[in-house]
Amino acid sequence: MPPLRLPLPIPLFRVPARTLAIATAAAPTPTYQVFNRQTKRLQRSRSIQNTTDSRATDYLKSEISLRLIDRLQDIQRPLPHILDLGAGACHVARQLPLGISNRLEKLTCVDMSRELLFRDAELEFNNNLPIERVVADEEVPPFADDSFDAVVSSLSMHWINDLPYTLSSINRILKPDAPFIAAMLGGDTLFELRTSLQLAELERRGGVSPRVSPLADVRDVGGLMQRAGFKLLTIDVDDIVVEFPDVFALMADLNAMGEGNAVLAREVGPIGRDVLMAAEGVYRELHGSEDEKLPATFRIIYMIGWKEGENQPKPLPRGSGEISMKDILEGGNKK
Amino acid sequence: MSTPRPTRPIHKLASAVAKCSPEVSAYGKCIVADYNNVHKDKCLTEFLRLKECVRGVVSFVLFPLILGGLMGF
Repeated sequence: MPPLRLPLPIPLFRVPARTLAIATAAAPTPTYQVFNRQTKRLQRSRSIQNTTDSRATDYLKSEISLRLIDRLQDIQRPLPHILDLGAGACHVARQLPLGISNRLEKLTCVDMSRELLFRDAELEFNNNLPIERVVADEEVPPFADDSFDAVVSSLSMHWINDLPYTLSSINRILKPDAPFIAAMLGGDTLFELRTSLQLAELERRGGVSPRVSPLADVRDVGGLMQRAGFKLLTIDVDDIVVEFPDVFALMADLNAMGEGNAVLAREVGPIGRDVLMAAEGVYRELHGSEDEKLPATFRIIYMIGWKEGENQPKPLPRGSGEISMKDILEGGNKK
Repeated sequence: MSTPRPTRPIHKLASAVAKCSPEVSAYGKCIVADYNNVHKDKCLTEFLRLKECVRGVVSFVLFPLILGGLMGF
């Protein structure tokens, strides 16, 4: 806002200008850079160029959204305004059961790829739900403090560079005592593909380059959530094994999901035919099942955390326990 | 994916490799036999056999088509 010429409108105009300034000032660039977010945005946008392929590879995201919603359904209180961070094509919205959607006033879907976000905007489920689609980088969620009754995130957080920063931003935009429920790929996800490509590339070219992203481990997630200020944490792990006819089908599906390699240190360009052929041989020999299928493991880490609130149950102070664990474990109920 | 489109080069490669399963398996066995000690060209012979086979399948598919076209089938 430039200096104003008239004294009268100053208080009127300054207020909105300052709130805007605050919103942008709270979004500095993240410090750790592992993934190229620009590449990721392009991959997601390109993945819907063939809508049929893109929809055909929704199986993983649909399944995990369902499992996430299952956890959301355990919350009895009404959740009028939910944010879906990294929504993709709004998978969570599409599968939301009546129990939740009836009480919903607004569902905000955020994704950085406009094309992917609006892929299913014409479908029928949009008419029954108050969906708002916002194109923004989910790494720095552009919302005011205390604005959502719940934040969910399904299969998007494994592409975030600075998880501590994003998690504390999520904590900031949640209302007090509101839940954050997320599912992200982690740990040993796609270890079969990772090992086969490494061995194949080592034998064919004499070295390896990062083909599968580094992923967060279950052990790290608890610490990260705690650091971001979440309380009453629940973290659990689920393995989904999908069987593919060959390594080419697996990689074509990953591309159609928009989940191609976006590691900054990667070798740009496609994997050579020789390495692919070699990887097919190693994958089949090392991990292939008896019926000639290639299993691919997706390890999903679910996390639930609550923003600190007033009437939240809290752990009792140290030393306030009256029953000794030692007595119970050693002598049954003897007094 | 439900319907692979044969026009894409990756699908051509995939179907060619699928026809060479003995060679694929021989190459895989050679690597896995001692996968802690893999170095460049450790299984060169097996790989060349695999490549030869894939190339053979690709031309085997194309050749009759071209020949058929020439002979007016």
